[in-house]
Amino acid sequence: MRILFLLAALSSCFAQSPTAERILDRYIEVTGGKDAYAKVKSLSILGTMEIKGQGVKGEMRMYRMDGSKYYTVVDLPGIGKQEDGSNGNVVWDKTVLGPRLKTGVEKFLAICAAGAMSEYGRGALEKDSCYSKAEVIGEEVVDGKTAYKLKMTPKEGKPEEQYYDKESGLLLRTKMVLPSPMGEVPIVAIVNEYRDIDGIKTPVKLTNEMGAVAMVMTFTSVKFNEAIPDAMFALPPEIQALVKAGRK
Amino acid sequence: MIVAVMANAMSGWFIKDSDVKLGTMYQRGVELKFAVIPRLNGFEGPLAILVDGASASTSEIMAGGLQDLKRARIFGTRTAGAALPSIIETLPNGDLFQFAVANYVSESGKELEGVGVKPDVEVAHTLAALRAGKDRPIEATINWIYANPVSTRRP
Repeated sequence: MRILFLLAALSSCFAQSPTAERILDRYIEVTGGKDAYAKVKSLSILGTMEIKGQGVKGEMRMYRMDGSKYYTVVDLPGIGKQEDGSNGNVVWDKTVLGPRLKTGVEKFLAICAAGAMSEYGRGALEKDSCYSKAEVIGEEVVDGKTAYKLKMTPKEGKPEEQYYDKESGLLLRTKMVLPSPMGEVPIVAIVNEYRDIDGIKTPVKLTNEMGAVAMVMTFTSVKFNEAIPDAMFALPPEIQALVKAGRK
Repeated sequence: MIVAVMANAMSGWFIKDSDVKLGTMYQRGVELKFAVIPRLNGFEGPLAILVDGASASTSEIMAGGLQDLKRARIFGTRTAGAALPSIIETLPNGDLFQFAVANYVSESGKELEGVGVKPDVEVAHTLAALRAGKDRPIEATINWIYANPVSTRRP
C-alpha cells in the first residue's frame, strides 16, 4: 500500500512539472511576449567586455539584422580587435589569429544566435529553427533560485543545458559546448542582470565562464529597430579574399 | 626571414597547412588547442627565430611550437620558461594574488614552464663582441640564412 501511495505522489509531482514547451513559451511571455519580439527587426548594442582577473577591459559593439546578419567587434587593449560577422550567407571572424570563415556546426550555431535578436534566449526564441528536441531533465538550485533544467538538442552540435527560474520564468544560465579552431570549448553563460527596454526584458549584463577564465559583458546601450546601414554587414577585404580563394 | 618580435598570432604567416597546432593549454575541464590559422600569401622560406631569457609567454609557445614542427630554427639563448596564463585576484586585505590557471604542453609533449625553449643554435652576446659592435645571435642567424638560400616562395 505504501508503495502505491509513493507512486501516486511521484505521479502527482510529474504531472505538475511543466513541459519544456511551456517553460520556453513562458520565457517569451515574461520577457515581453511574442508580439513584442515580432516587431524587432534589428538590434544595436554598445558596451564593454572585461576579462576578469587580467586587468583587460575594452569596448564592444554588436549589431544584428534580418535574422541572419550580424557584426560584433570587441577591442581589447593589449590583445587587439576581435571581429565576428555574417552577411546572411558568409559567416566569419577576424581575430589576432587571422581571418577565418566559419562552416558546419559553427556556422549553424552562429546564425541561430544572431536570429534570436537577443544576446540570449535563443532556446526559446529560435526553438523551431535551431533545435530538434527540448526536454525537462530536472530541477536545480542556481544562485539560490530553483530552476527548471532543460536539455536542448540543437539540429547541429552538442546538447545544451538551459536553466529557467521556476519563479520568474527567466533564463538564468546556459551550459554549452561550442566548436572553435581551439577545439570544443565548454562555456557557462550566466545572465547577471535583465532590464526592461522598449517592452522587452533584455539581458544587459552577462558572464561567460570558460574554465577559470570569466568574461563579463556589460551593455550600456541596447536599441531595437535602429537603422543599421547594410554596409555594417559587408565582408571585410581579408574575408572576401578567403571566399575568393575558396579557403576555410 | 628572421623573426625577433614574436607572438603566437604570427604563426599563421609561416604555416600553409590547415589543422596545425602549436600545443595544448590544459585548464580544469577545458582543453584549448593553439590552432594555427594559415594566412593567404604566407611566407614559406627559411625561418629563423631569435630568443633569449626575456622571451616569455606566447613568444615561447610560438618558438617552441614552430621548432617542434621543424618549421623554424631557433637561435639565441634559452627562453624564460614562463608560458602559463594567470589571473590576479584581490585578497580581502588588498594584496594581489597571482596564480596560473592552466598548463601548456607542446605538440611533442614538452612542458615549457620552468624549462623554456632550448635554441637549436645556442649563441649568446659577449661583452667583447658588443664592444666591437657585433651582435653574435644576429650574425649566427644571418649566416644560417645565407647558407640556406631557398627562394622565398609565396603560395
